[in-house]
Amino acid sequence: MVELTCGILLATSLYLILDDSLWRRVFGITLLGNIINIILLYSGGLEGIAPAFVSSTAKIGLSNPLPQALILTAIVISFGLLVFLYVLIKVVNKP
Amino acid sequence: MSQLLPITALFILPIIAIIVMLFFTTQEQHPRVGYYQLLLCTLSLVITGLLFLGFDRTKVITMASWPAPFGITLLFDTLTKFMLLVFSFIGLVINYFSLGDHRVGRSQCYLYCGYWLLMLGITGALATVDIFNLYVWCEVILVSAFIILRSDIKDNTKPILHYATINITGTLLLLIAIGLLYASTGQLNMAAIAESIHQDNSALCISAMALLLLGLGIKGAIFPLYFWLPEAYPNTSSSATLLLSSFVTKVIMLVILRLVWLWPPLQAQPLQSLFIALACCTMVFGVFGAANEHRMRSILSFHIISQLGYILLAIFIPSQLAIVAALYFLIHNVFVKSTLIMVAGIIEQHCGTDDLGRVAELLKACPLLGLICFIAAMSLAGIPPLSGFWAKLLVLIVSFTTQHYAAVIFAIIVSLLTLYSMIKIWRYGFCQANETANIASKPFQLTTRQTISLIGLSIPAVVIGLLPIVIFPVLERIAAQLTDTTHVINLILGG
Amino acid sequence: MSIILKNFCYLILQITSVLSIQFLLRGHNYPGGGFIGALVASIGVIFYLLAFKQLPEFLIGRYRYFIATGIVLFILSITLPLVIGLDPLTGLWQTVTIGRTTIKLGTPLVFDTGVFLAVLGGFLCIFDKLEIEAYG
Repeated sequence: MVELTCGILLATSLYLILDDSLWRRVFGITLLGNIINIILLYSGGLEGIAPAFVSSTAKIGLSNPLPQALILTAIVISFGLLVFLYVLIKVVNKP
Repeated sequence: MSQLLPITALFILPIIAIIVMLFFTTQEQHPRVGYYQLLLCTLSLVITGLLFLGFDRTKVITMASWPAPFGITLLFDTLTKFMLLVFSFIGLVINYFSLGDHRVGRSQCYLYCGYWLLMLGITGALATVDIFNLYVWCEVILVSAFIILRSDIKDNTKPILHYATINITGTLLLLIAIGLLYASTGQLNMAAIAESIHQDNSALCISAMALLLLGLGIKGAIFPLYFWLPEAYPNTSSSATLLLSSFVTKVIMLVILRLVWLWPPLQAQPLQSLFIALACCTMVFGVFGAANEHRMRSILSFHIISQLGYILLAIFIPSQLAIVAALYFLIHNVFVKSTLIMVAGIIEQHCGTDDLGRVAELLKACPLLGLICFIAAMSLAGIPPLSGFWAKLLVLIVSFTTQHYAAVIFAIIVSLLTLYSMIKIWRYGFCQANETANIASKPFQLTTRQTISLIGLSIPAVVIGLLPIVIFPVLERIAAQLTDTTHVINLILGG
Repeated sequence: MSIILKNFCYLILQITSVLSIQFLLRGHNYPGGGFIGALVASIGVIFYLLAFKQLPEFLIGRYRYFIATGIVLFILSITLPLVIGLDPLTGLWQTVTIGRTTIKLGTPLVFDTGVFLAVLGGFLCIFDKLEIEAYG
């Protein structure tokens, strides 16, 4: 199910990126960035439910913290890049 | 400890430089800021020089004391140290040149901020052996490229938007590839991934690697994905073109070189044939694109792509000599191409344009510029005693001995077409009189700054051409280190 | 704008400032940390901006100091372990007892504070350059 969601959203985002309009292109990139976060999360497996804190009492069923750390970094970076893109488009569209 | 100190300084110096430059951006234009920048660049050159003194001793650093497959590991081997030395030398010369670049103007401090961010990204991308960390450093390089591209008094937002869209998509592909590699191997460390490939050669793993190379290929301007480069590079100040063309794509090539030798499936069929075909296409299409252009910097931008094809071809041929060929080609290309772009920048500064239809008889106007341009152009085309000849000869030899005859033929044809482009620049720009040229070619003198920066770039190019023996021992040492894959993996995982 | 909205937004700025510090301090072992703390703080700044159409007086044009201090703190947290001879970025912890409470202080906290200040500075820069133009 997750694979199907990722596939459909990925196709949507690529369709948007290939569009002529600048705004749609940026929306496509925004969407792509978010889907990639899901893919990263899924790559670590979705078995665990309990958050992996140091003081966690659960011995089994802990979720994999590494993809979460990767996603946090990816979110920060893509946020910065998107802000830059929005500013560029604002400059381009300025009369 | 003796190596840890320069390495730490290498990461901290750019950060401190960024803070310094950040505070200079408040003023309109500070007269001294260029000299501070030069001082910092010299310091960076000294640090990389100190690091290079111990080039034989590989240093592995694990961040935050986490042992290798879990934490981020930095590997300072001969490749990293030598390329950092070369890059910081070129950075010093380009920064010196940029002091007199009229198109940089008020945004000088932003250019310097961008330069230091670029140096930080390069250091990280060359040293890291963690693929997610590699992604982060690639983003640092990308952001710095945006800053550097913006350092122009003319409005060049449209090309940057193009650049940004394609490159951000590229980095996102890189991220998907990292996710897939993590899913199939459960590792992020390059050496640990290499070990798990030996156990399980799954299709998912190989396709993830291909996707990783695709993401890097977008950033490194490989064949079907190079269209951002000739659009963005000519439409900015010449200092910015110099910085980007000599650093960004070259670093990506070096990263690919490291990956190819760590991960055996990349040099096995079918990926090897695919990438050799792509390399040939990159060469051919780059040089065809150049034939259609009239501005000097546009021609040179297309030639960047075509020469990346040669480097890529050598990278994907599995032999020790091929590594030497790739690195020699890369270093030759960095020096010679920068010299040519600098010549184009100087012409633009004096004549107002570098369009070959509008400038003429520059040889009469400035003989020294003509001489340097001639040497550099002939070197790029591959005329015998110069560095380009040895570089192309090495690539031809390695592809001939490994029975890639089609690649040999393509390389020779592209070499001839490069000669055609260079003759075009030489003939229309420097020799032929042109009635329609509306720029009067009145004589001009190079300023001292321009002369010194031109000579500073062209002397290393001539030296490595006439006396290749000066850098061959280092390159052979790098090749020996890279080909000894098991040793590298043990070093990373054991350190 | 109405006085109610102004006072309300000022209140939100105060609450989020305190909350952001709380997030920053608990961040090492629990959800939170420098980045999230800075996001929460910048939410307060956005509300303030909506009501007063300008940044708080003491923040206008100061984003450079935030970013610079943040980066200096990064450098400290990288180099402090090196001085002792450990690998860069290794966490050094020290427990401090004040009265009855014991507090764990360490280089990860310094790093987090650096992230907090740098990210907050980045947001202030964005507001400084974009929003002032939009409202003013």
